[in-house]
Order: sequence, then C-alpha cells, then structure tokens
Amino acid sequence: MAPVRRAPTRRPPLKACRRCGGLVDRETRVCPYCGSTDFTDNWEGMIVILDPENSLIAKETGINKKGYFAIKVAGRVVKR
Amino acid sequence: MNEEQHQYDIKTRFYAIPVTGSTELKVAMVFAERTQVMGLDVRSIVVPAGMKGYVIVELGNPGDLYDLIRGVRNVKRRRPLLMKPEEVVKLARPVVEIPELKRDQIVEIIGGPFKGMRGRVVEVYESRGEVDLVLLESEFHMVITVPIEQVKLAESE
Repeated sequence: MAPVRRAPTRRPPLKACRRCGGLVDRETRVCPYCGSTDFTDNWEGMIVILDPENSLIAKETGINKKGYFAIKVAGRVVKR
Repeated sequence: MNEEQHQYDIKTRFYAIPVTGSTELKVAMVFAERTQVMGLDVRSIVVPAGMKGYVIVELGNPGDLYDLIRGVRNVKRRRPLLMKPEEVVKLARPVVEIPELKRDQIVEIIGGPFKGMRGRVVEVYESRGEVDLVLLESEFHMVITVPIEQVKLAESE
C-alpha cells in the first residue's frame, strides 16, 4: 500500500487525549496515560514532564507521569 | 507576603529561552531528548499557548542551562530570562475552564454565532464536548448544539 502523503506542516504529528491531555502519535489508538480512546487534533501549548517527583509544574498541574501533555485541549470536560 | 513568596521551592529555577517563532514545539522536543541523553537536571519544559517565541524550562541545577541550549537550532543568541514560578504556573494551567453543566441550568453563550444570548441546558454530551440548549430569547422553541467551552453559567438573579 502506498504511504499516505500529508500536507507539510510545522506542527509535530501528535494528537491530544481529551481526558488527560496526553500527547501521542497519530497512529496510537489507546492513550498510554489514562486508557481513553477519545482524541483530538485541536490542542495548544505543551508541557513536557521529565522529573515528575521534583517538578513544580507537575505538582501544580496534577500530572504525575513522565511524558508530553497539552495545555489547552478543545472540548475537554474533565479537569486534570 | 513572605509566606506567599516562599510557597514554592526556591531551588527550582525557571528560564524563558528565546527561540525562532513557530519552532517552539520542535525545540522543546529537542530539549527533552537532550535532557535524557545527557542526564541533565531539567524537570519540565513548558511551551505556553499564548506566548510566541519562548520555551520555558524548569531546572534543578541552573548550571545545566548552557549544556541544554548549546548548539540547538532555532535557539536565539539572547540571554535566557529568569521567570518567577508563579508566572509559569499561571501559563501552564489551561486558560479556559470548562464549566460543569447540568440539565435545566441557565447559561450564557460566550462565542460563536449566538454569542451574547442565553439558553437553558437540555442535554450535555461530555464525550463529544457539546451541549444542547434551548434559546430563551428565541420566539419559537429552538434547540441548538454548541461546544461546551462556548458557554458559561449565567449569574443567578
């Protein structure tokens, strides 16, 4: 099968989980952070947590896992 | 006042690093990779939604800043700015807080073509992030569907 060609874009090819805000590859079906399957391409801002135990941002935003997270996710209902 | 100033760990330092516009996400991913490869004491990286041209890094050891940004493409040769923790925390939290809605609540529409009108909630679709409303100002019974972030609870009279 021929590879799918996408229009060039400066955005990284990631989508955001609507439940936890976790950023994953477009091909991922299930969110590795919360197990949700509800994703959106409409997100803004990014937080990368590298040391969840000592990070102030991790404490303040309630993220307790390493990884990439979006700050604003369209249509997110559940707050972190 | 003093308690407020010391509510955060003073060992943590936040620096805003100037980068070329529209490359913030790319640079942040390079920083994350470099941190893991070189074993630097970077605790988190923030790319705020409304702040173009800067990537904010949280460092446990400020001496690692030079190793982090040295030779990275799209990083500008300006001195990184020291930021207050309170400012960064404000930027890292979502700006729009989505309200918890229930049936029969009166809401005000704050965006889209029906901006400024009031409506009564008929149904909330949490998974889709949408809400059905009956417009109060309409002459006939009219149900509309709007995104949940475009409504806010009307103040009770």
